[in-house]
Amino acid sequence: MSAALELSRHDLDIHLIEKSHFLGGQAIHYSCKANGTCQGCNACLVEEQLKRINEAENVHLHLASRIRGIEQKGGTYQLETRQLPLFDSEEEQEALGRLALTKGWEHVVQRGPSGHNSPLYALNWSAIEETPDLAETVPEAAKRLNLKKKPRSELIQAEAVIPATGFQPFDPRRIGTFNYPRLSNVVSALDMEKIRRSSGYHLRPSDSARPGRIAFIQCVGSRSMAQGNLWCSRVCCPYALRMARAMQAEQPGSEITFFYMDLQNCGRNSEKTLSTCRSDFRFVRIMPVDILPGDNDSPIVRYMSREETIQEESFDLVVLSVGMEPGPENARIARMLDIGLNRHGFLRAESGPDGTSSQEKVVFPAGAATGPKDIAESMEQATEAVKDLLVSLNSQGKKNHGYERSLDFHANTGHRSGSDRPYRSP
Amino acid sequence: MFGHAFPVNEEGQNDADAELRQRESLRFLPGARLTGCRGTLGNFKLRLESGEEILEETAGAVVLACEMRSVPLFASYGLSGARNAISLSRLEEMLTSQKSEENGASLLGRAEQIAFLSGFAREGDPVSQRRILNSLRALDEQGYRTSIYTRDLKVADDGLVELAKTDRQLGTIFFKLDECPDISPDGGEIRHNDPVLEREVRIHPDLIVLEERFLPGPENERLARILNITTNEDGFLQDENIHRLPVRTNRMGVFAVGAARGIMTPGQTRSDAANAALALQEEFQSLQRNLFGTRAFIDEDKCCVCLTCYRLCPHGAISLEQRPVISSLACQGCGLCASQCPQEAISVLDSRLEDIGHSGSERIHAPKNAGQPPRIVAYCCRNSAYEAGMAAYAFNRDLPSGLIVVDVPCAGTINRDMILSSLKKGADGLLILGCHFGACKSTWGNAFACHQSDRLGSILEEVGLSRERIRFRTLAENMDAEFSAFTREMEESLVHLGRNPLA
Ligand code: SF4
Ligand code: SF4
Ligand code: SF4
Ligand code: SF4
Repeated sequence: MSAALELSRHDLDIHLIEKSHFLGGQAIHYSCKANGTCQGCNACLVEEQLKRINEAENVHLHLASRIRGIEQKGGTYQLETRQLPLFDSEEEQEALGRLALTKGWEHVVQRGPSGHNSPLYALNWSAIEETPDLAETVPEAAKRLNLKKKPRSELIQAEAVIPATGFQPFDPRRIGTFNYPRLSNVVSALDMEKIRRSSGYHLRPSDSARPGRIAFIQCVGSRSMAQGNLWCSRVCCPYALRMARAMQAEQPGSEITFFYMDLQNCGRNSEKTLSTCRSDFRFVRIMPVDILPGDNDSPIVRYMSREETIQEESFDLVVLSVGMEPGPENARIARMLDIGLNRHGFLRAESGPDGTSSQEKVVFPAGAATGPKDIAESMEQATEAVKDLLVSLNSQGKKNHGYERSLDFHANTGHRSGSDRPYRSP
Repeated sequence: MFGHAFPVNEEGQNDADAELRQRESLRFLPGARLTGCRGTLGNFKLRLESGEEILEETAGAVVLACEMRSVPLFASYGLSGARNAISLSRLEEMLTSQKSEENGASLLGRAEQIAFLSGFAREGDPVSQRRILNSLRALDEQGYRTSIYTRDLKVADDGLVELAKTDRQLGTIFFKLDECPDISPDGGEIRHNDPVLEREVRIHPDLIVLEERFLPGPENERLARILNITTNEDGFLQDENIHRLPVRTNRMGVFAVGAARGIMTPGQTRSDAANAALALQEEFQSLQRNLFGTRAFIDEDKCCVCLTCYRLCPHGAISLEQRPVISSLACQGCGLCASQCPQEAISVLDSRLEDIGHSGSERIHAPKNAGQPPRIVAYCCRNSAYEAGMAAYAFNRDLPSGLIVVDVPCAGTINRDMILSSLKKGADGLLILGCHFGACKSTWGNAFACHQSDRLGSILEEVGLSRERIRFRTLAENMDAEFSAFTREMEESLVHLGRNPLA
């Protein structure tokens, strides 16, 4: 999305192909972490970008579209996509909106996480497929929706491709001993975000009460040999720390414990943030063994104490700081575009430091698809990919996209900034 | 600024320098110091001193790419007098010279046991962490016995988890402690109670390698003053406001990249350069296409040159040339200047402030009878609260039926007249909703709004109304749930307070 937005300023046609019904990736689900003062989580910047992308005229959206094949023919890429039917007319949107409020039908409609998602409502096709004789039972609200609409195929031509397929959050079900989601009050950080966004509060799922004793378990699915994920996901520490601070601001007096290995920095003025956190929260440097059911739906966390004995502690709520994993489609996308994956399965940024890709391949992977990144880093890296792309198009003389020679900076310098010429007063 | 380089040791760096020097579009001014800067984006007048010479240059934009400094932390570890303590940089020098001389083993030769200390005198960072882990590996490979004492391994960058694992396999012992171990002042002994081994561990290192603290470049403070930009708490040339990301500063047309804005990995520094290039190009493009119309302009006949606007503009969009002049390129149309000009000499093009005041009061026409819901006018910052409000409507959230939402370019633009006219027209309560502190696009617009609402509350009290009728709250764009909660809360308390008697 960042890349498309950056590109939209140029005289180019941009096709933004999105697998889901809603733009914004994982980050659009995140809630604000401010505790009166902004904590710099950058979630609202994603919101802002989404708004701007809707306004960009040269960005053509292809929502709910899955790429079926990519062919490179004489300098252009042909992308074959299959798009699920959208109900984007005002009438259909209204009907979906009403259907979402109809008892027993809520699950058939998906609503975008952000007010800027447009269209805001979509049909949950998998729910429809699961209910075969749906057509007979449709309520009044849905009468106007043609549930028999068929997916359609599209052929999109492009001179360059930016795969920005994002990441996949680690599925905590893979750590069986944590009993997620069997224990209702063991949630992933992402679940917590969704609760916060929809209710405005950090509530525990079982009874919508405000939790007083909260545990965060860090590195769930990261830095783990057992899971084969030998990387630090980078975002979960700052993320959890900010969430904990927002929780404490919302519910003063709540007691928050972190189970962790190493604490990573939190934004640029980390020193101060971390020292506040170190005094406000309790830190236990250990990975818990398991989480068990307890009284009052309060999960019990068991861990080895320093004295080599098993400790049990009960919490109102346990938040699992799940890590980032490569997207499930990475291998397929890499194969179709003939690019490489790194040893962890993220897309390899192919371009050299001088921003040129090999002559035949005009592919510039961007964002968290290339490895764990926070929101700011993803945006920055997306811009870098765009710069590489523009330089490459420019050098191939393919298109006049307004990338002025006089501003032909190469990114490998990183320190040179002679900007005393390019401007002329009007 | 001109030609300071962050020593990243990227391969090919020197070639790139040589290549850059060839370019005609670039001019190098080695040794030049920036001593003055006037003007605005698109037209900065820079004053540079190079030896005796004084240069006046015009520039469209300024990119700050200063390097940072690292200082050793001997004193923090009580090792000022220790002969065997060296800084990480010193060790790295030794390792490199060892490589080039082949016989450099002598430098480290007599040491057997080498201990690293980091994370106790400061929070570490992935940049230093990588250097430490790489040094450990080099030493391990040469057969030294190494150990590292640290609070947290800062592994939040590509490949660092694996690098730490490799070091462990090669023999480095990792001690992760919450507090600094006891170190004898001569550096001869390091002692701690080990939480894992559950016993006291003493080692006698021949060499102790200490972390360093990164400090912003020595020129930063001076540059910030000359360019009139705000720094972050550590003194780097970009403050923490999210709207600066990635490479902007609070002054339009002044950019900060790499180590000028914080401790950055080489990858981030590279990406900063690309971001700056495209951001520059964006400004250049708008200049060419004339995309920006003037947003705010000053009626010269009314202006009394009090310079309130000049001091207030959060984007550095106003320059002084006999009288204040607003740059059409740099102005963001926030309206702060207009709301505070004592002469009402400034109008903001797309949103004349009087209009906003009116649009609030004009839309109040509910009858006064007691059964009607309270009428609330919410002045919402366009960058945050207004969007939250629109989302609340889109999501069918629970909202007061007497709510009137008015968007303002910045919460800081509300003034007494707007509020009073709304009250006169019959509003029962007023909400001023801005961005969270630290996230205001106009830097201090929300602080302004907070202060204003406080003052207006006092005015209300003076005329016998409850100050509860005016409230200031902060929101982010994604807080539609909270928008609904705030407005509902307000409605409830207005039900208690009853109708506005002024109406
Ligand atoms: S905490 Fe995050 S979402 Fe909230 S204002 Fe700051 S950056 Fe935006
Ligand atoms: S950021 Fe923190 S929680 Fe996430 S993987 Fe790294 S160390 Fe673990
Ligand atoms: S605030 Fe108004 S009167 Fe004062 S200098 Fe600016 S325009 Fe002139
Ligand atoms: S409207 Fe805002 S940005 Fe423009 S000159 Fe006035 S204070 Fe500066």
